[in-house]
Amino acid sequence: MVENTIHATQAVVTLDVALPGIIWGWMITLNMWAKSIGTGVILVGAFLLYRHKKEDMPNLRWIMPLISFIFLNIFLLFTLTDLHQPYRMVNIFLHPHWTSAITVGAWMASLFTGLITVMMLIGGFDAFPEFRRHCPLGKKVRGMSDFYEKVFPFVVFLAIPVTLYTAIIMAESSARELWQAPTEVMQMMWAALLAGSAALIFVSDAWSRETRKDLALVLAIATFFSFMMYMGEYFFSFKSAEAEATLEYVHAGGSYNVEFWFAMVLGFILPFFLAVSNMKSDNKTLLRFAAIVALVGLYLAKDVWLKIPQMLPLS
Amino acid sequence: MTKSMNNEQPAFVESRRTFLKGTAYSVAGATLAAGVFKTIADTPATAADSKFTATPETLSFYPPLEEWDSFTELDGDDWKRGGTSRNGVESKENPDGIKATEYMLVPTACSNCEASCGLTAWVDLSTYKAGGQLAVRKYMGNPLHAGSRGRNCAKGYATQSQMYDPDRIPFPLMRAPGSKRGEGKWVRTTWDEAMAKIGKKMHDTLKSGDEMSRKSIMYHVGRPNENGFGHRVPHSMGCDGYDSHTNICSAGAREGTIQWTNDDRNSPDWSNAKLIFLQSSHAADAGHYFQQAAGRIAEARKKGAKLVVMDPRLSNSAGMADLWVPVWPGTETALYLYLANRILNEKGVNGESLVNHNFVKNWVNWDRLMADKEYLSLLVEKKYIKSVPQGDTYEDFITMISEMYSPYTLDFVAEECRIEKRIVEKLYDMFIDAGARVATYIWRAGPIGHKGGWMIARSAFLPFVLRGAMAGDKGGVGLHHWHVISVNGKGDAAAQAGARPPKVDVWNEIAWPPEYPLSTYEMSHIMPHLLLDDAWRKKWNDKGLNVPDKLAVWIPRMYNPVWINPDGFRWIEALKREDKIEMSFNLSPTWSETNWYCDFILPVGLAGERHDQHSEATEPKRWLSFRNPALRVALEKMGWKPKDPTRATLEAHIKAGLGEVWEEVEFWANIMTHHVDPDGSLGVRKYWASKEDPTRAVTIAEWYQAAFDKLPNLRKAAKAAYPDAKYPNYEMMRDRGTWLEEDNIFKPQERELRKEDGKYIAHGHEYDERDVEKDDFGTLMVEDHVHGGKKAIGIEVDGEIMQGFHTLSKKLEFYCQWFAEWKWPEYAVPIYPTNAEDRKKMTHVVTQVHHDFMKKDNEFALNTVFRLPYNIHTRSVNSKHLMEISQNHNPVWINAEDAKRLNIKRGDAIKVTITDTVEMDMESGYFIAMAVPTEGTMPGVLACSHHAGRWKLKNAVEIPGFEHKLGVMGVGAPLYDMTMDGKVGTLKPTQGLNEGMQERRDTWQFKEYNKDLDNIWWDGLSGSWQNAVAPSHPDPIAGNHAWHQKVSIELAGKDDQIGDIYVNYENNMKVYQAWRDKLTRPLNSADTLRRPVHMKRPAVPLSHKAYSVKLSD
Amino acid sequence: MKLGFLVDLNLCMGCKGCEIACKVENSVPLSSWRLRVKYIDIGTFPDASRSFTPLRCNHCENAPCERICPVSALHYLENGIVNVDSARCIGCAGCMMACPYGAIYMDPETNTADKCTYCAHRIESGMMPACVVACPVEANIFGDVEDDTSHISQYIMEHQGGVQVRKPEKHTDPKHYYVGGGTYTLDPLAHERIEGYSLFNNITHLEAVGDKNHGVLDRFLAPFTSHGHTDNKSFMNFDNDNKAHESHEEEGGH
Repeated sequence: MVENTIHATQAVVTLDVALPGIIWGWMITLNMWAKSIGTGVILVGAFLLYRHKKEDMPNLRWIMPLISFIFLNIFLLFTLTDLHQPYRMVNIFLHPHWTSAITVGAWMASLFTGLITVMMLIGGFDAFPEFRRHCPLGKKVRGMSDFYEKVFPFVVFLAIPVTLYTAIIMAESSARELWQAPTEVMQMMWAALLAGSAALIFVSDAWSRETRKDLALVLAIATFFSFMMYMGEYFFSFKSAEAEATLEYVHAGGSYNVEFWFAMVLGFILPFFLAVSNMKSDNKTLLRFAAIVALVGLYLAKDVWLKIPQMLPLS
Repeated sequence: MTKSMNNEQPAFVESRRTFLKGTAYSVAGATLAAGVFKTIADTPATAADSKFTATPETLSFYPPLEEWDSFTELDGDDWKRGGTSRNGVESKENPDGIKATEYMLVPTACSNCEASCGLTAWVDLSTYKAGGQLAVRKYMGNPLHAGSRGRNCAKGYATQSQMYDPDRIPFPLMRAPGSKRGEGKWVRTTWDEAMAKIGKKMHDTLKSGDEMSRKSIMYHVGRPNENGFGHRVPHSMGCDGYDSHTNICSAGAREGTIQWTNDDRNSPDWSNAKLIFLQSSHAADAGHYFQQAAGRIAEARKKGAKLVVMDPRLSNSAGMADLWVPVWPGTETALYLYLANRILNEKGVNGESLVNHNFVKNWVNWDRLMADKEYLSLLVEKKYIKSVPQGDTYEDFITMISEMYSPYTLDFVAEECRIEKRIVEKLYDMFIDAGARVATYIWRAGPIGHKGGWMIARSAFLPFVLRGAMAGDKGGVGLHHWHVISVNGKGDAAAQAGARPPKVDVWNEIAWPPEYPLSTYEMSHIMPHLLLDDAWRKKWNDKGLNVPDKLAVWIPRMYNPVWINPDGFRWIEALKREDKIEMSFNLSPTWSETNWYCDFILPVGLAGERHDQHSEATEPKRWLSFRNPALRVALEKMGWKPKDPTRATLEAHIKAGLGEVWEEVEFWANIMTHHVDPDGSLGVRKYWASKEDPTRAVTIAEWYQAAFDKLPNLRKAAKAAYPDAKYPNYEMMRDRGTWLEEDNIFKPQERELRKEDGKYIAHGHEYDERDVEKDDFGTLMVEDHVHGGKKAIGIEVDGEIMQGFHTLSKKLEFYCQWFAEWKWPEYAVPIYPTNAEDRKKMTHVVTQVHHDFMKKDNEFALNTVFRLPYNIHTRSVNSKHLMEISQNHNPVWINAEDAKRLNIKRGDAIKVTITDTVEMDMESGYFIAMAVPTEGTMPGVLACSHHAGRWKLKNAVEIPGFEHKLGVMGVGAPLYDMTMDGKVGTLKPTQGLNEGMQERRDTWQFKEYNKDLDNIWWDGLSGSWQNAVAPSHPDPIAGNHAWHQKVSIELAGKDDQIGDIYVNYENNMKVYQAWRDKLTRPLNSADTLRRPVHMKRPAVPLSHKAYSVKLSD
Repeated sequence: MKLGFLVDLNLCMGCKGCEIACKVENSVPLSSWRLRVKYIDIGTFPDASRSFTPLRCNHCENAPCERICPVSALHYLENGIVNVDSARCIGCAGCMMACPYGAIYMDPETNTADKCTYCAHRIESGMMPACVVACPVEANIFGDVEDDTSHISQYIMEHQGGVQVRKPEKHTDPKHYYVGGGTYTLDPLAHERIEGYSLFNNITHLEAVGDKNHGVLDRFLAPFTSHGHTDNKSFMNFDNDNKAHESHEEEGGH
């Protein structure tokens, strides 16, 4: 139509100030990625424990909280580092503001990390009596073995909001319409299951074939639905002008276009088929490979999705 | 927690309008400020604690005058900690509360353009009383100021960042002994040492007392921003030694206005106009006065007035106007005469004549034209009219000019101005609809851009005259001298002599060469050319003149001619020649390209660091500003006393840690009294030594007490307000900073000529009615005792004796007889050629960038002479804030279609080559700049303001024995390499300013204030030094530099870099000579005068001896 | 009391006086803006026009920045102003992500979030915001929108139907209004904003959010390394050059 083809309806900014670019960068990506693993292993671990006998996964009881502990700390470290005033993190506890998902998340994540630490210790001591004998702390928690099982259901329950709250932060980032609560919530969920299963694959060497099959299954489902959601968001975000404008730019081959498709293939498509094929034939190497590319791809996907809406001038 | 927790909603009265009414009232003279502010008297009590509340009853724009000496306000910076709701207010009980700063508001006036808007300097007393530094925390407006009404533009608020410029010059500098000018080697000196050296040189120069000695000292002033003090400097030495910047600024418009009115600029009443008809962006967004003009234009628009802007470029005002009229630059004359044609030859909707006959018949000198049959036959000969009219009645006159302007048809104007007919017709309708309420301000742009630019101004007023809009009535156009007050140079009564110095007896050909007898101002832009032009000098000496071949002392003041004038390399050549300019010093607050080539740099104060009386014609009133050195006034009010009362400003600035920064008034009084003429033998001392105590120079209080005494209303109010004061005038102005002497000045030409017991009183002189005779045209004539002959003092209109206009005929001069007599008869009426052939014949009124000259498809007219609204000509680079907001807004704007045609894309570097059209196709060189396609400039016309592209050759200079380096123009000028060999000059950027600043953090002064400099995000390459490439184009009549250039453009080569320039300034010399010799009509042996005696000879009053000339052939 | 702001875009001439008035009043560091005036060119020659849009914090009644701030550094004052507490701010930049108007910046000097406060410190002192005082054309109208007699309320009534806010669809309920605005001026998606408009610098965006001169590590070291209050004097130092002594101490110059 003519009004779209003549200049007369075009407006051009001829003088303005220089605006900030990407505000939340790779640290936030790493933060979300690490959290997905930290919470994911618990969720997937719980699923396996529900489906299989402990004996099928001998090391799970101690290695699950250990992995979670490591990645939760990576997550916390970068949460802190990304603050321009890191030491003031304490204000979140001194002056909490409960409408903020950041506050709620910080509290839950801290509680969660605390419980995971306890579970890791108990699990560790139970698995390595030698170690307990030499560790003073070990003696103290001697009688607490059953606490692990008592608290586990609550931890599993807590893992869900802990993995989801970042989605609410993104939703509260009302300037970035690409991020809508429902989709981001689901993305976070699938990310956790993807990351959790991928992470556990690396330690599933000694496990029964059935358990690995389940890991592959979870991985396949997570990658499949993640991919579907990304496609839906990437191509069909019609409802919001800003989201559309953002994506239009990326579609047209703008920055992050390549990174995005790289992420889709590595993170979801490739691991999906590998995982499916693995359910028939148990090929540990392939499955590990699937886990690696899935984790790399997940990082890229998170990164792209974090950054592209920030490219849009808000005013 | 905030103090007031009252839950009920207090009435929140927005109090500006009432507040301002009060203000205007108080300023309007007699009544004193007390009580005036009652509309905001109900603001909470000032007791620090109860004063602050989150829910105040009223909000004020400014504190009442009574509180200016001590006003407490919460600190904006400290507030960032969360404000009072989190911290409370600081007090003994609550030391961690938000700081409440006690300020003293010292009124002063902005100096960043000529509008002289009021300012208040908010001096931080809290920090000072706590043992800290006395500093100005912010500058805001002055609500008492009738012109600016408490409002300011970006430049006003930037006064603070200029004051605390990291690269401010902290003390006087002297060129290092043994070094050459331009080497950039400097040593620290003191004001006394500088005054002694300079004073001696001036003394020795003047001592001989001969004619040449009176031509050898030149005071070269940028925008003066004061009324007459600078004039007194050469005047008191008996020198014809004043050069102004006016001929690169506004001389064209002045020439055209003088011919109509013998006043050199008009002065509109924006607020009451129905149509605001602007030529260029000057009045409403880029020029001086713009802040005040914009406010009044907005007022008129609120009342339904329309805005029309004529400009080849979409300026800010054009961008928001009801009608943008883009005309080919330099052809505006055609459009004005088209309007005249339709006004004369068409009728209104009811068949009524569109000419305001009442006004034209009474106030235009048609009668003299119709009586001058000889001239009428010249009009016939020139084919302006077919035959000499039979009768000489007013009706015959109207019939004649109706015929004369009939060729300026719609078809012609569309063709000549390259404009769409619909736009011109719309303009005409709007013009007619507004009746006599059309306001304009003809100043820069056209009249200064072109050969014959003055004719644009001359013709512009014609349609206004015909419609009666030039009557100086409400909503129309008045004249400048009706609306200003000039007393800054009139403190004579305070000096030992007690009287004005006598008229000067010499004529300085360097400022007023014989080629330009009608130049409205000094030919300052060709000063270096004239000094270096031996052939020219010889020619005139052989004819019997005594032309200086050098200057003993050249004194630029707050001026940067090297950079802002055309042909910059020629300036550098001249300034480097110690045989041509024996000594030079710049009274300059900041570094500049010109300083680099001077012998001394003497740091004088900025807006809030000096004294001036400054008045401007911004509306039909007569107001004035009084500029105050804020820190000095604050110190004195707190009881501080200077060791030497004649140097208080300097001492105060040192005490406050600002630096050894002084001001002109005290400087000149001291150097004249103690160094130029210490023993009074030259007869200069007595004009500067104090009457109270002749052993010392006159003081500020003495000087301004005497100067302001010339204003009756001010004097009366001051006496009443300060009954016991020794210097009431000075004290009142120090405390208020502004005064409105007279309001509502409309149609003063119709005021009765005062007559008391048989004596007429005109311009302060008395004339016995027996000596007054009335000529055939009703003009009252008297003997002219200075120059002989007759002069007019009044006019009879409808049997009443009125003051009339300022002209020889006391009427507006459609027919400018003296102009015809002074060799330009064919242009003595508004006229413009209508075909290519005539354009050759009448080349003097045809622009050098006319589309006739654009042959190839890459040839353009370059529109250079417009300003960026938030910048100052050459005084912005000392403000980090102005530099930040003006970043990257001065590319070469090129019309989108032209760009497409030449395949130029946004951001491309292009080479812009300048060639001349008088010395046909003479090439000047080129500059490299960035092209940006836009819909905002007309096809065939490029736009690039000549106000950006500053440079420096050193990032910082070492001062022997001084621990710090001194940075040079750090926030606004990149580093360049320069080459020049007497023929060709080049400039190449080598370092962006961001990098430059970061690598010399130790050179930043005022560190706390400037701690954010590490966040500079621009490198400052926002323009190229196009001024140096441009040759000087002296207009043959008005004498101004015709700014616009014919250029050809191409994509830059791979070695070219934005900011590069290449100049063949030998060619530029030839261009200037061509303009001088091919176009002017110089004095010859038939002339007995240098210039028409009635035509204002600015600055220095001259005797008849000086005016007289005798030339051999 | 609810303080509101109205800009009449029919009057604004883009002089940027308010920008500097704001910078000076609130010591806003270079590279940061609480208030900026944006130029937009619309249409084709010779019918092109230009509009100027002053952009500042909208002081939303339902402010996303206040909601997302984890420590209530952003908080409401009783007069409706959304205020900032830099002493409490942890610098998470959540508010920058939440504000749909890009009105918040990370102050490079303090490394905390900051923005326009309607000059709250002046309001409490009974004074108008600095940008209102500055405006040569009185395009800025400020006052209590809950008081029918206030200038701003009356202005809104006079221009009923012509009063707009930015991005109403965000349900932020801004207390900053525009008269004479249009889609082109108020909706960033309706005009082209060619990045790299900073012609000679080739800058598209600021180098960094917050302090560009110190890395992540410095954020942890800051408390131990931060410099004290430097003095604000010029280079005047009379000990390093004896000659300087004479210049002003001695009586006059003779």
